[in-house]
Amino acid sequence: MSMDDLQKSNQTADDLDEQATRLNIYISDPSIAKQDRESATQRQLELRQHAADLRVEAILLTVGGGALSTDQIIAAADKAKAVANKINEIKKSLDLAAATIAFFAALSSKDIGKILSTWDTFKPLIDTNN
Amino acid sequence: MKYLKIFAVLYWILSLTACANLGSIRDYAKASDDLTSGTEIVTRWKNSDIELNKDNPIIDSKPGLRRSPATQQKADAAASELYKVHDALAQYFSALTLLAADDIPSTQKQGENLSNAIKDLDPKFGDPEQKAFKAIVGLLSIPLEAYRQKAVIKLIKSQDDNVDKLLSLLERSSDIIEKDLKAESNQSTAPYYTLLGDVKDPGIRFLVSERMISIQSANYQPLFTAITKYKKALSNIRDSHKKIGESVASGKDELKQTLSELKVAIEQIIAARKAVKAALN
Repeated sequence: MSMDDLQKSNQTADDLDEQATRLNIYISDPSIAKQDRESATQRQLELRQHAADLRVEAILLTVGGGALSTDQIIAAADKAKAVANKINEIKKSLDLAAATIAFFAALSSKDIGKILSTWDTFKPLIDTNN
Repeated sequence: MKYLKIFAVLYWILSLTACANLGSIRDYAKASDDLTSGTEIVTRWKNSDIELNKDNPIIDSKPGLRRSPATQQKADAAASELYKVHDALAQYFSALTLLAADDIPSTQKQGENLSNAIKDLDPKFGDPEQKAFKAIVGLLSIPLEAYRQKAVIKLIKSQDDNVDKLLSLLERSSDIIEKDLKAESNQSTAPYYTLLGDVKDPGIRFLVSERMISIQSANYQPLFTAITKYKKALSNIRDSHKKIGESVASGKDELKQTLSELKVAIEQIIAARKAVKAALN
């Protein structure tokens, strides 16, 4: 289906909905035989079903053209996240250097409390950098 | 000492001017991420027949199904494709938000931690040395800032066509969804028109036609208001993205102007997200 066909199909769906709405005058008129009103109610639903079917097709067709862009944009987003990760890696190296120095400072102070608390910071950084 | 002071001041000025540019892009990307990650309208459309035939405390009879099982299957497939587009756009804007975040290139915390650690190791490492050391570590944020700015600009420029295509696609789909939900709204009044056909009493006819049908139609109003705002926001996101990409190519002054104009677009995008949440959550 081309874009032209798509536009025509959308227009047809609008027309069908309008026809269905116009039937309300007939359906709500007590002077019309019940059987005829029931047929009109049934016809109204059929018109709306036809319109709904055309619109679902139209959305499927519209969205079908986006697959390539979807893949490309996800790949670009992944690359951008990788850039942010690279920056964070550099910062993590500085964090590791700070934690290493702090740990050795604690060791030289021979303060057990300090050694343990700096180790708590140091260990997770070694783990993530491995 | 003198040189280090100059370095520190220089670093402070450079980091201020560099970060100021990306604040609007970050806010724009964050608002766009929030809007595109929301799929409530698509889900509402997918479940149209379920919503249409929900129990109604006012009237027993049901409006009927507008979709055959085959059409519903296609609607499910269309919705899952729309979810993919939403997800791709949300991933893109989330990456842009991440890159434009001010704390990304800042090495202030690292400079602080390093100088404190050195001070613990060497008591001779006094306040002036600490200040100088922090400034030197802080200088590292300048190339990092340049690196991330380049990445942000490259990302926006390289993806403008894809962003344009996917947002246009969502706008066109939303137009169709809006019309289809209007048809659902019309069909939801069908049981009342059937009831009218069975009633001759003018008082009851007035009550059904002027009150019940109006109330039924009014139930849909917040949904349509939300869709209108949502469509406008999609178009805002698309236009703003294009403008940022174009002004990046034109030069710093134009980029500055575009970024200062983003505020209104951001407010509209945020308002649209709120309207969708209020109508559908």
